[in-house]
Amino acid sequence: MYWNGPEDGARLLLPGYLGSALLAALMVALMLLCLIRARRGLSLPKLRRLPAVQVLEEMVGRATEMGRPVHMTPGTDDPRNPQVLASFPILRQLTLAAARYDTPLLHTSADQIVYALSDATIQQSYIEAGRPALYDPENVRFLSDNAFAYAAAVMGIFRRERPAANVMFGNFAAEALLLIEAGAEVGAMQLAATSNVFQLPFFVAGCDHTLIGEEMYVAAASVSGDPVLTSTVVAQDWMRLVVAVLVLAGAVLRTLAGPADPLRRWLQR
Amino acid sequence: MTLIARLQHLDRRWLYLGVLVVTVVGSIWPPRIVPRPSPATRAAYDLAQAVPPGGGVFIYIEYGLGSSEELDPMLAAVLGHLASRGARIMLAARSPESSQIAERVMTSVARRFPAYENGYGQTWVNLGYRPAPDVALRAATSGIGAAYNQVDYAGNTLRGMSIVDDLPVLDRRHFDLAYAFDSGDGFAPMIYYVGTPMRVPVAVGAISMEVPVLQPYLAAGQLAAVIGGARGAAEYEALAGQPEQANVLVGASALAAVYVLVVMALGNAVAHLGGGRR
Amino acid sequence: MRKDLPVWLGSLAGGFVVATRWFAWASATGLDRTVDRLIVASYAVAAAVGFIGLTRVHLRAIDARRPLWGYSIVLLVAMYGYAGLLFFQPASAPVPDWIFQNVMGPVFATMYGLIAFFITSAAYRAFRIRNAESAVLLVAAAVALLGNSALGTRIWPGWDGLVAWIMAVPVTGGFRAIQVGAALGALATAVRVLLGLERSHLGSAQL
Repeated sequence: MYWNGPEDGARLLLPGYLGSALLAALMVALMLLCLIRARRGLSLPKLRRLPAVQVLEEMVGRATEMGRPVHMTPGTDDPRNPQVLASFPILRQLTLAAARYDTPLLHTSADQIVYALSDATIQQSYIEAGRPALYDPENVRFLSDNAFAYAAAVMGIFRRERPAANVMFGNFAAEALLLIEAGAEVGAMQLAATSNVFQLPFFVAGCDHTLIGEEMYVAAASVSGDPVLTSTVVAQDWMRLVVAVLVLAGAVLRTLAGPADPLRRWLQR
Repeated sequence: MTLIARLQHLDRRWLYLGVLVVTVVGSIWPPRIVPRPSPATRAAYDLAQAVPPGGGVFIYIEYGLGSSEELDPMLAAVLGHLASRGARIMLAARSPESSQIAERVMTSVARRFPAYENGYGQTWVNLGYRPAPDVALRAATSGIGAAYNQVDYAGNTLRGMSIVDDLPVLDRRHFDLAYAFDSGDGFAPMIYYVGTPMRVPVAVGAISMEVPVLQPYLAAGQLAAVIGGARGAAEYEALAGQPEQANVLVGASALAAVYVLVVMALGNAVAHLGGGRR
Repeated sequence: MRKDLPVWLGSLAGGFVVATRWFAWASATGLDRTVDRLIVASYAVAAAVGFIGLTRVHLRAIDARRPLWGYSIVLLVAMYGYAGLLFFQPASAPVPDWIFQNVMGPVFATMYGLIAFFITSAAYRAFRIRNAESAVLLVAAAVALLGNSALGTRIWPGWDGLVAWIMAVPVTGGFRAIQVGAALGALATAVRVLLGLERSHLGSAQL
């Protein structure tokens, strides 16, 4: 609600937001701590390798051998969604690999702003790889704002251009299954990553490799190769421990004290 | 080529043909299955039953034309039930598509209730849409008229409409129930801005695919009720004595479910008998 | 400067939104209402950008006579035709409403209906029992499928209770875990953008 002023004295936070503000502040503090440690070269826990991320290079290699392009889509949402933002490091990595192997990379998007950002990322990545001539603006396509229209267009592209690898990294709605089956029909190797829990079952069942939930954010940080960024992933893990402790504490308190448990009342102040 | 080999390379169009046959047969001769109401649907029914005559209900439509077949009967059943209780219904939407759906369904329901057919602005109103659902709902908790720029779906002014004058703010004092009909994550702003801070009971009408995702919120008490998919709609129709529209869907989907199970079993049998090849 | 300015603007805008969501002074001074109006305006701008973008893309396709360029003409005529109609009539008027109900409705329902066909081909192709976990998954899927279609109770009266347990216990637990993790990941990404650490979307390598 819009809060019109203090009835009970001055407040820093809006009513009911103490819990979420504290958790967010703790997360930011942990991230800053990890960043400082990384910048100073101090030790941090090592990240385990995500198998699905290692497969990116393999997918481009497969496409090269088959003489077919690679396709990537960041989903059907706009850059306000963190999942879309997380797709750009992957796009850069894919473009660098495509440049090394001299394999065409098709990129389709369902948002004009994502299209503009992706176009810049791809162009810059080809320059970074030392192959600026490989950049083809015709391979970066904005298809439609509407998810189903976008899916229909991608299905047509798959039929005509028959990509050998399909990377779906972002937020997807009901069109996810359409894209999966279209890729399967042309025999593409498929990697999917999303936090959209509605579509995860389809991706897990229908794709060769899947990154579930936060793994996509971890992948985005780890492919960058920047130790400063990967340090923030450690903060995520620590925060997850905090949440787990809170869940246990809340469960115990709720069992003992019922709906009037003090932790809940305090966090919702 | 052996049968197993043929099945391993089965043209998927045969499977599509099977879907077509099953859905056509199921639509023309739907098996009549009246499901027993689940606790979640019964909770939704009880919430509507608890709305007193003249009580306020805020209904947020988030789904588009793609989910219309599944959610329109559910929306119609809930609106019909609320109209039979004499509730005052405020409809709002996330997109132009959703607002037209809201208008279409409510207009058809209103034909059965004279107080609603002739009572626009008093017994019900369609506020139209405003993008950014979290912004719209947050603003509505401070002032509904201002949140929707003082105009309704058709561009008429909200000023002077008794329903808006009597129910100016989306809070517990004015509203007995809030509903979100959605096919994605549109229920979340309703919980964050209406359910938890304003303490208005929130119920969700969702497609069947969304029901598992709503379970944590239902278990935590952040959602008071969930009507899930065609089955939930059929259950609600039976409970509330509303015209049966979803029952056809339940019958057809039952046949389709059996078909999918058979296909799954066949695919597994072929894979394992054929040596695990795809 | 070209890369730094968007980062600074993003941090500033993000900071404003965070402030209006949490801090009482932002709400008491009316800053949150202003920010909310700007957010709504940004949706309108994004829609306009999409409109212009589609026009550019398809005009280029027509000009270059790319394959299937005829459909680009159809798209532009439909897009500008319907938009032009809505300049003179509200969406609730008979003609726009007829187009909505009888053209857009069946088109979207058709695309959504394709999912039923593709689920079947996915069920045949991909829903395989490869190990113990996938066996449990498939059995649970079969139980839930029959339960949702109301056929389960015809087989065994306790079927609904079993489905309710599956939804309430393993499904709830699993989805809670995924949602918490995804929320933390999204928060970390958002903080990286606000702090100016995440620059890959601007076409550059990281800091």
